[in-house]
Amino acid sequence: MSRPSILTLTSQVLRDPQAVVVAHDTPADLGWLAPRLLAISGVGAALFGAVVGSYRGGEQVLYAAMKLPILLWAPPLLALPAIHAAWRACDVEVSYRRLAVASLAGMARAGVLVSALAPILWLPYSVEVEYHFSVLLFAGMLVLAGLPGLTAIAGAIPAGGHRRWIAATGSLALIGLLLAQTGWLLRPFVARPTTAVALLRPVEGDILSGLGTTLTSSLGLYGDWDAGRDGLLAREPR
Amino acid sequence: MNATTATLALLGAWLLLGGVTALVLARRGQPAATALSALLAWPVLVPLLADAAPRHAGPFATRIDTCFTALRTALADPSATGIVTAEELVSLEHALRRADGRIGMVDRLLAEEALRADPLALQLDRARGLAADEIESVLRGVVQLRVQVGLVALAGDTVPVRERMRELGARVRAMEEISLA
Repeated sequence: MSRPSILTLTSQVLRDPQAVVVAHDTPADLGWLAPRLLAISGVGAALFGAVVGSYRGGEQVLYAAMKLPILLWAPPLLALPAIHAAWRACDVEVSYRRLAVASLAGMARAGVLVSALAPILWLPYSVEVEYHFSVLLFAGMLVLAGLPGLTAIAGAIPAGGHRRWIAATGSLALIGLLLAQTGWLLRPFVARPTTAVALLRPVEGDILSGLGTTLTSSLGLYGDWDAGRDGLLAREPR
Repeated sequence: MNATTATLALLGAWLLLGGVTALVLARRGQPAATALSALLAWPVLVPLLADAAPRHAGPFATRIDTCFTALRTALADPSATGIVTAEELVSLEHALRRADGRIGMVDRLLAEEALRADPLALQLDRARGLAADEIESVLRGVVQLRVQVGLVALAGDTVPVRERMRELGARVRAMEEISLA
């Protein structure tokens, strides 16, 4: 039997990522799968990023399309060794290679799902919704697409061990925290139409302070904190 | 160093590690796409670095790939869950690959003009033929295993599959023991 085409693989990670993990557990399989699953997740995330950047328009479309795949890839890649160690500490025998394939399948699944959500996000963006609401909408959709991706990783963990809930909660918390902080470091994704366009904004505070500000601002309570108007490749609005 | 510079420095370190991983994988004969993937996603490709040095594949490498990919796909079906463990399958496949690698090594020896003239070469050639026949036979057994997995899906009796798996494992182990003797 020949290897599946990239379209078949896309369909498999969407319908049954566990089957992909089970059917590909040799080193040769990992080498074959990695570029394909990264391409699927990268293209999906870039499409979603382009829609997110369309809120501001101009160069922001390109910048957001470049940064979204990194946002999708970074948390599982950074967390992988820690997740492996956490499950081993709970006496669950899972190979690093199996977790790596599951992470790739999870990322690809999330990438396909965010690209499917892109038109839904585009609709409110095209009628110019309020900025803070657009940020929350973006974050919500990312979480919505990310959860089925996480289930692909969780499904690869074999039964057994003890106190599994510690490893499960720790893994989820770690990925969530890394997603949030990576998003904060790589911002802006949704830029205000009146602000400067920048590839990366200076790091001001952290994700928790930023979320607090966004929530209060979305309720109409504005404080004295505002996004800086400088950053890497920053350009003032015309 | 401000925070944005620190972010860029971390990104540079990530790419540097990725570049080294990609270089090592490329030198070990991995396809260019795999090596390039390591540039961005090296943590998932670390298991490929743990693999021993590049192995020379034998004449059955493609057939082993084909047989085991097909078997894994059949076993991934929900109706076939738990019949054969991933470890059993990996162990059988690795043993077959080792046997295939040994045949590949013998083939390279027999291809040398000087060694072919040696009186022992005939004996080596005969032993190579026997080993190749055994691999052929085990690969046919793996194909039959797929058929039996299909029968399990309909009849639900997993015993024949487990017995066949045990038999194949024993035959491959016997090949290893003979070669080690």
